[in-house]
Amino acid sequence: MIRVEHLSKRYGDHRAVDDVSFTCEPGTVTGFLGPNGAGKSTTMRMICGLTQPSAGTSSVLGVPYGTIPNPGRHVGVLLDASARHPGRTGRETLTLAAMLLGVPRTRVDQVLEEVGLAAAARRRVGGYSFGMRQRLGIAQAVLGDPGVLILDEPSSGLDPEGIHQMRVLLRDFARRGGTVLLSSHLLFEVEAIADRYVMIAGGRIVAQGPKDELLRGRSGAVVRAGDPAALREALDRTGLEVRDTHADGSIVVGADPEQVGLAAARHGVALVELRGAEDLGLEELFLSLTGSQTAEEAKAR
Amino acid sequence: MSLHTTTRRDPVETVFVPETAPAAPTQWMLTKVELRKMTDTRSGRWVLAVIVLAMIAMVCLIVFAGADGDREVPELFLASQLGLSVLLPVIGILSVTAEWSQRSGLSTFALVPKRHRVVFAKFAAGVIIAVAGIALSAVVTYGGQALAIATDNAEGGWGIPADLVATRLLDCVIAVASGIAFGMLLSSPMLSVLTFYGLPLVLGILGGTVAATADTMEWVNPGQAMSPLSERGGISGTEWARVLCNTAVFGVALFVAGLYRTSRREVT
Repeated sequence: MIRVEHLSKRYGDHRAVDDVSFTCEPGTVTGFLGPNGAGKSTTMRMICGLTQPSAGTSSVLGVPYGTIPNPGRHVGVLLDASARHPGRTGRETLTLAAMLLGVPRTRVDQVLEEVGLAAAARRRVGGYSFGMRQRLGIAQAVLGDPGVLILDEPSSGLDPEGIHQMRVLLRDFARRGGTVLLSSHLLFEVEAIADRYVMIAGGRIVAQGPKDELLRGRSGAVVRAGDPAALREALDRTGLEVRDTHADGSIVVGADPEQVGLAAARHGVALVELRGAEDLGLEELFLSLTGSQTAEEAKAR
Repeated sequence: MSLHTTTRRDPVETVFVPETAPAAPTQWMLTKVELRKMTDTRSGRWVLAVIVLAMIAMVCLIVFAGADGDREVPELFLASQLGLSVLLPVIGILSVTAEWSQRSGLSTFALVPKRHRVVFAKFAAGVIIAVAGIALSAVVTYGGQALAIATDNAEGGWGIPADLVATRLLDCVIAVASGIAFGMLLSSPMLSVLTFYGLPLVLGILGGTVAATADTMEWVNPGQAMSPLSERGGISGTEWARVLCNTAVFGVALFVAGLYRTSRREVT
């Protein structure tokens, strides 16, 4: 169980995280999605007590993270796989963590075996590939046998086999009642694992909920014309809701294709493309929600 | 990466229950971890090796090349700790700055949210290294004395004055504390080391060239104020006052300020 309530972080005038609230229930995997710099890592660091929030609160298992005497035994955290002393071996890195957690040293070899790092255990982390460091980070996260996992971009740098193994691991973990929050800037990395999504852009949550709930009420049309300005005018005059404009000039409209086609015909706009709502999948939703935000931000700068 | 074999208490906890929760690591365990972190990397082992090699080299140098009157056991004891005195603060500095420069703090402080406990563990680990270093230097000193007797270079008996051991230990403990303080305040390993050693140098030059500051420097410059702790022949009341004054600034005030900064700053 992870609960985030009205969490905000300001750096000077920049709102890195702005009034973010969500809850991760036991037995679920929550995909925390957003483009780079959207505020995912800052939010996760605030949950783990590493960054002081400017406002708002968060709790893990019903209490603030910092008040748990031995947090690693309840919450497995992987925030940045590259944040390791390169001079230590993988095994030494985990042995230090095992001492702090108070778990037997045999557990170290066990998790190294489980993430497929047993052969590289006595090599220095400085010589590890990024994928190996991710595996080491995941090994440390599960070392204390926690009930909650907080993983920041855990699948980046992993090969397809590694991504598959992690999907299996996290699904299995949630099936046994664990709570998982994992972030990614790529939808496909979490689409096969996540039950729920929290989408964030520009520090604000733009959508959250289970997949079908997110897509409900999103029926509409994608339309493109040779003259985008004329099309836009036709839509505006007819009073149809324009949800988003893509880089290729196509417009996402909150109406069915027939209405859009009629509006275009009435104003003499020639269409290049017109398709229905069923094409408006999670990917498009994600891009339309997060893409437009970042575009607006870029314009503001 | 198949974690099917992972053992798990069943059912999985959904709320934190303080009564059954695993205890926080003890302060002694934290100290053992920090001690291990100071000695489990190549750079850490090099620093320790240089300290030991410097002990042997300095004792041999004095036994075979020291002037008459400089080869007594207390002199050997003091000289053998030259490397220890120089490098002990470096161990303290790097122990702190590595958490930021190597970013291992992300893991350390996620596992131990009460960050001051980690800092105190680093200090305790530094003190343990200081005690071990001084004990080892006594052994090396006696080795040197035996060598001196065998080569007919010996002067005086075997005794190392207890007060000399005590003041050397005090000097080392204060040096560890101020090294850690510099590391906490400056974060960068290079900047911390340069400032730590540059400051006494600059203050020393200032005191030597600007006559008006000479008296002040005897109190302010750690390079001057702390030196009686590493000399034979007793410490006067004024000298103790200078030691106290210097410790209050570099060992206590800066340490508290660094602790405050470490506890509140963002770990990224």
